[in-house]
Amino acid sequence: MSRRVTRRRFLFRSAHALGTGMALPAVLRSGSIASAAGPSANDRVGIGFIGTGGRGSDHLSVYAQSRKFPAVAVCDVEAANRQRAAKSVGPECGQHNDYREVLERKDVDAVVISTPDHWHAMMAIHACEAGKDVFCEKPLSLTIVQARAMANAARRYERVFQTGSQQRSSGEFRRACELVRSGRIGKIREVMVNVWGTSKPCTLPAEDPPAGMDWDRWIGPAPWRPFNKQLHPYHWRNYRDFSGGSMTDWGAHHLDIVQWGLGMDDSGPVEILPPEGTGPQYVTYRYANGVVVKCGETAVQGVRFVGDYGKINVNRGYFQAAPEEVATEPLGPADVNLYRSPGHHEDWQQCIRTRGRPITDVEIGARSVTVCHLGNIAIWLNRKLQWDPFKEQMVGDPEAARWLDRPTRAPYHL
Amino acid sequence: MLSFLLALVFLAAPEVGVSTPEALLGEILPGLASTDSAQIDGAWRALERACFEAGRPGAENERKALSLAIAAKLGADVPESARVIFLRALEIVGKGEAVPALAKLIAPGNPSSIREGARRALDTNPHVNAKKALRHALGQAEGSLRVGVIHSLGVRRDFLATGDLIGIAEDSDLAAKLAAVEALAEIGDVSAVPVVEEALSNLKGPELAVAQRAYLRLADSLVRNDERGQARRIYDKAARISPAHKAAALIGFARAGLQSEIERIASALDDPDPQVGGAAVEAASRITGDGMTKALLVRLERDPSVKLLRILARRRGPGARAALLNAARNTQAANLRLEALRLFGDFSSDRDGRDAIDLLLSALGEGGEVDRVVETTLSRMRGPVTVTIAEQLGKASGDRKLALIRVLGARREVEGLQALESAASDASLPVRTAALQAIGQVGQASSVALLLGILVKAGDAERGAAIGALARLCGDESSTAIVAAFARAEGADRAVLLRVIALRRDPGSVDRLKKAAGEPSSLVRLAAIEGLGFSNDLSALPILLEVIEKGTEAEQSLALRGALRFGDQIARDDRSKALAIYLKALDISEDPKDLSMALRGIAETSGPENLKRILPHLKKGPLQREAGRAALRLAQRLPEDQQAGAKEVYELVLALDPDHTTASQCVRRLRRLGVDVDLARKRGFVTRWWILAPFPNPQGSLWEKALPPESGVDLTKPVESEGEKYEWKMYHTPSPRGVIDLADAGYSSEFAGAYLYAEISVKSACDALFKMGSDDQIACWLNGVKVHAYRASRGLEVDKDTVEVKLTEGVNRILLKILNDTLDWGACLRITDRAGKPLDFAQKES
Repeated sequence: MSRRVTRRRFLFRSAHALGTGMALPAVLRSGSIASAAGPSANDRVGIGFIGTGGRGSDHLSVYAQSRKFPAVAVCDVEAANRQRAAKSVGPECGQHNDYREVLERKDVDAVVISTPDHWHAMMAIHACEAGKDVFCEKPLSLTIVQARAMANAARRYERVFQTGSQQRSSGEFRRACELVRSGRIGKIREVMVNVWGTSKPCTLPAEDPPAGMDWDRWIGPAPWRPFNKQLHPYHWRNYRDFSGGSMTDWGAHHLDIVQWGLGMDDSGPVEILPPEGTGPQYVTYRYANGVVVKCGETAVQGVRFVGDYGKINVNRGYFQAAPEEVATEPLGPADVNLYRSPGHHEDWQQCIRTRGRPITDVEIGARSVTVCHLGNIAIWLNRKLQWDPFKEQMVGDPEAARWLDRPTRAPYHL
Repeated sequence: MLSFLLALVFLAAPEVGVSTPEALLGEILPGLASTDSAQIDGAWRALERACFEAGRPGAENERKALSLAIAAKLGADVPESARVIFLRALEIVGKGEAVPALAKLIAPGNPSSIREGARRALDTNPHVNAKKALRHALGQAEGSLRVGVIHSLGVRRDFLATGDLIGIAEDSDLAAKLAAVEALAEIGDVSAVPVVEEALSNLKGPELAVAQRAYLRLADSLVRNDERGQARRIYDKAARISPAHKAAALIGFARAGLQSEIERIASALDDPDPQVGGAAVEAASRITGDGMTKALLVRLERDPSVKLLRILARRRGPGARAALLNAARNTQAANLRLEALRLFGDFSSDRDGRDAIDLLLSALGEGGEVDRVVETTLSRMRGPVTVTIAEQLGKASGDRKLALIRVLGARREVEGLQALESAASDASLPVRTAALQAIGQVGQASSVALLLGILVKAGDAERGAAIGALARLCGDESSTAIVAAFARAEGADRAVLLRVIALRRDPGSVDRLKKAAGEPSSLVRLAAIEGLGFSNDLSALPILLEVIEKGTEAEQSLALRGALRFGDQIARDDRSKALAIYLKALDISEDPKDLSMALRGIAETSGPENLKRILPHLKKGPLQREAGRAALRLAQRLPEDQQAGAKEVYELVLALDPDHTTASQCVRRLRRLGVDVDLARKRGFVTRWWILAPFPNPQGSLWEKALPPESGVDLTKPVESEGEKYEWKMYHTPSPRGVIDLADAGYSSEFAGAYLYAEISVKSACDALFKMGSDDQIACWLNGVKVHAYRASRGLEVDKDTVEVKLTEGVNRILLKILNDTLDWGACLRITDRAGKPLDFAQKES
C-alpha cells in the first residue's frame, strides 16, 4: 500500500511518524521527577541582582516588593546604578560592587544576572558553585565553550537555571512550535529568521569613566580597553570582546525558537554557510535532517517555518498560518504538546520550589546560543563550517575551532 | 602561494590594494598605529580578514606566511597600540612559527599590555612550544601576569608544568597559590591530589570555596585521565563537605560510571535535602550499566514510587520495561499504575514490547482515567503498535472498539487502514461513524472507493463522516475519483459529492460549483450554492446575489449566508453593495448567525438612516449585544439636531450590559450630552484623576527622574520640566472598569510619562487594598509615601498588582506615575477592603 505523503495528508496528520521521539525531551522534563523535594510554597527565596542597568532594573521591578521572592541584594559596578536599584527595594537591601560578595551572602538563594555578555559565564558558574539558582539573561554566553561549562556547572550543582530567552514563555511561539512539530505543515524544508548584525573589534578612543564607575571590573575577563561612553551603558553589543551583536542578542530569541520548533534542543546544525553576494545577507544553517535555516536580512516577521504544505510565521504578538486550517484543528494525543510556562519569571520561581527544569533550561540556552555563535563565526571567517552537534566540535577546521573559546584577561579565570 | 596572494588582493583590494603579507601589514600599520578610531577600525578589520582567509583549511602555507609576517612586526620599532592588535591577530593564526616572537614578548622588559597580549596568544597557540614558552614565562612573570600564565598552563593541561605548579601552590602569594591549585585541578595529575587537599585544610572563606571547586574539578580531570580510583576517593571526601558538594559528588560518580557508588546514589534518592535528592535523580538516570537499574528495581519492590518509575523509564532497557509492566499489572496504588501506563508511551514497542501492548490493551475498557491514559499511550507509542491494534479491532466491541478505532485514527498509519475499512461496515452505527472518521485521519487515497460507496447508500450520520473523510484524503487520484463519481451521480448523491468537492477546494472546484448552481436538481443547486458561499472566491458572489433575488427560500437562505461571508471582502471597495447584502439579510433571515453578521456589517457601512432597522433587535436575545454595538455606531453618526434621539439610544444600549468598549463609548457620549454616568465607581475604582502629561521618556529614563509631583502636588500651579510647562487636567474615565486610557485621553504615547493624581476620602482610618494595572510602568504614592512600583513593559490588566495600604481618616492623596514605551498606555486603580470588597469612599471631583 502506498505511503506516499501529499499535501492533504500532512494538513491533517499528526507528527507521530515524524518525530514523537524528538518530542519527548521537551514534553517530559526530567527535573520534575524530583518534584516532591522542593522548598514549600511559603519558604522565602532571597534574590540577588547582579547587574542593575536597563534589563536588570526590569527584572528587579518584578521582585522589588515581593514577599516570597524578595530582592535582598543588588550588585553593579556603577555606584549610581546599584544605589538606585537598592533604593527601589528598601533600606535593608544590600549593595555590592563585587558579585562574589553577593554569592557569599547566606540570605541570597538565587541570582538574576543581567550584565553584559562577557561576564555571564563566570558569574553563572560561580553562582552554581555557591549553591544559588540562576536566572541569566540571554545570550547565555560569549563563547560556545562557556555555554557548555555553564550547563555542566548547573547540572553538577543541581541548580535551577533559567535562560532569559523569554519567548518560550509566550503562547504564540509555543503554538507555532507545537504545530510545526506536530507536522501540520508537513516536513519542514526551510526556516527564515529575521536577525542580522554581528559584532566587530573595538577601537573606541579612551574617555574618562563616570564617577563611581569601577571600569576595571566592568571589563573583567575581557581584554583590557579604556572606558568610552559608546560601550557603557548601551552599545557594548557592537563589539566582539563583549558580545556577538544582534546575531546573539536577537538570535538567542529567534534562533532559540527555531531550535524549539525543529525539536533540536539537544542538537544543532551540522553545516553553517556564510552570507554570499551583495543582496540581502543571511547565514545558512543546515541540520542533519535536511532542514535549512536562513538567518539574516530575510523579509519575514520573526521566524517563518516553511513546510511541504504550508507556512507558519510567528513573532512577538504575531501568528500567521497558511493555509489557516493547519492551526484550527486542535492538537490530539499523538501530537506534540509542549510544556506551558506560566510566565518566564513565574516558571523560574515555580521550578525553584519544585526543583524542576524551567522552560528555557541552561542546556537549551546553551544549545541555542551555540547556533548564534556558529553563525557569527561563519560570518567572521567567511567560510563554510562543519559542526558536530553531538561532540560540539568543529569538523576539519582547526582555525575555526579556535573561536570556540577565548582567553580570559589575567587574573580572571573561568 | 599564488592563491594566498590572490586572496589577499581580493580581500584587501577595497582598502589597501596589496599583494603580499608583508606589503599588507606595511599598508595597514599606519592605520593600526593611528589615533583615529575609524582608521584603526579599517586597518584592524583588514588584518582580521587576512587572518580569517589564511586560516582556512588547506592553506597552511598561507597561514604560516602571514603569521611570520605578523611576528616580524612585533619589534619595539612598531607602536605599542599596533603591536597589541598584531598580538590579537596571532591569537587567531599563530602556531609554532610565532612562538619565538611571543616568548620574547612575554619576558620582562616589555610593556605590560604586550606581555599580556603575548600570554593570550600563547594560550590559544596549539603548538607544543607554546606550552614550553608559558612554562618558561612562569619563572619570570609577576603579579596578575603570573596568575594569567598559571591559568593558561591549566587551560593547556600541561602535565610538564605540574612540578612548578605544585611549588607555587605553597607560595605566599595567595592569588598565585589559588591559581596554581585551580591549574593543577585542570591538569589532573595524581601528584596534585595531596597539594589540593592541603589547600583545603589551610584555606578559609572565599579562598576555601575556590579550593573546594578545584577539588571536584581535579576529580573530573582524573576521570578524564583514567584515574578513576583517585577520582572516587575525592568525590567521596568532597561529599562530606556540604550538601552542595554531596550533590556534585553524586553527579561525579555517575559521570565517571563508578559502579561501586550505585548504592550510595540510590540511597541519596531519599535525601531530605532537595539539592542532594535532585542530584541523585540525575545521577541515577545517567550512570551507565545494569547495576543501577537492578538497585532501583530492588527499591521499587520495597518502596514503590512514581519517582523510581520515572527514573527507570529514563534509563530505558529491558529491566525498566519489566518494572513498568510489573507496576502496571500488580500495583494496588492507582497513581503508580497510571504512571506506568503513561510511561509506556516513551518506549518503542519493539519485538520485546508486545507484552506492554497486551497489557495496555487489557487495561483498555476499565473506564475513566485509565482508558484516557491508555488511549493516549497507544496513540503515541513508537514501533509496530498499529498492526497489533488492528488485529485486536476485529475481536473488540462496544466502547473498547471505539477506543481502538480512535487510536488507529490518531496513529494515522496505513497499517491500520484495512481494519478500519472493515469496521466501516460494522453493525453498530457509532462504530461505523468512528471508523469513517479514522479513515479520513489516515488519509490514504486507496480509501476513496470505499468512502464513495458508503456516501451514496448510508444514513445521515455515516454520510457526514464519509464526507469529512473524503475531504481529507490525500492525492490527486482521490480528487480524480471523486470528480468522476460526481460526473456519474444523480440527484441526492450528486449533491453530496458536490459538498465533498467544495470541502476539498481542489483546483477547478469553484468552476464545478458554478456550473452545478444552474442544474435542474434542487438538491444539487443547494449544495452548489452552499459550496460557493464557502469558496472565498469573489467570482462566486454575483451568482449568490442572483440567487438571493430569484432563488427559492432555501436557496436564498444559503446564498445569503455565503454572500454575508463575502461582505467584509467587498465592504471597503463597494460599501453600498455590501450594505445592500446586510440589509437584505435583516429583511429575509431569521437565523441569529446571519443577523449577527448583518448587524456587524451595517455598523461598519451604514449611515444613521438605518438606525430604525436595528432598534427592534435590541430586545432580549442572542443579538442584543451586537445590535447594541451597531445602534451605538449609527447613533454616533446622527446630526447635532437629533442628539436627543442619540441620547435615548445610548441609554438604551447602556441598560443592556454591553461589552467594555461599547459601554465606555456610551458613557462618554452621555457625559457630552450632560448625563453623568459612572459605572466603575460601584466596583471601587477611582475614576476622577488629574493628569499631568505627556513628559518625554527617552529610553525609559523618566523612571529614575523625580519630577515635582513626587515631592508634592499643587493642582493650581503648572509644572515646569526641561523648559516645558505642564498643567493638571481633570479626566473622568468613562471606562466601566475604571481604566484611564491615556492615549484615548489625548496624550501622545511613544516613550512618554504621566502623573495621575486623585484625592479620596474615607470616614475612618482603615486597612485597604490598592488593586492596580498599568501599561507599561507604574509607581504609586499614597499620602506622599511610595507604596508600589513595577518597572517593565506590559499590557494593562485590571487588578494585576495588589498592595496593602492604610488609609487615614478624611482625605487621602494618591499619585500614580505611568511610563510608556510604545503603543497604548494607561492605568487603573481600585480600592477594596482586605477581603476584596469595594471600599466606600468619596472622590474629589473638582
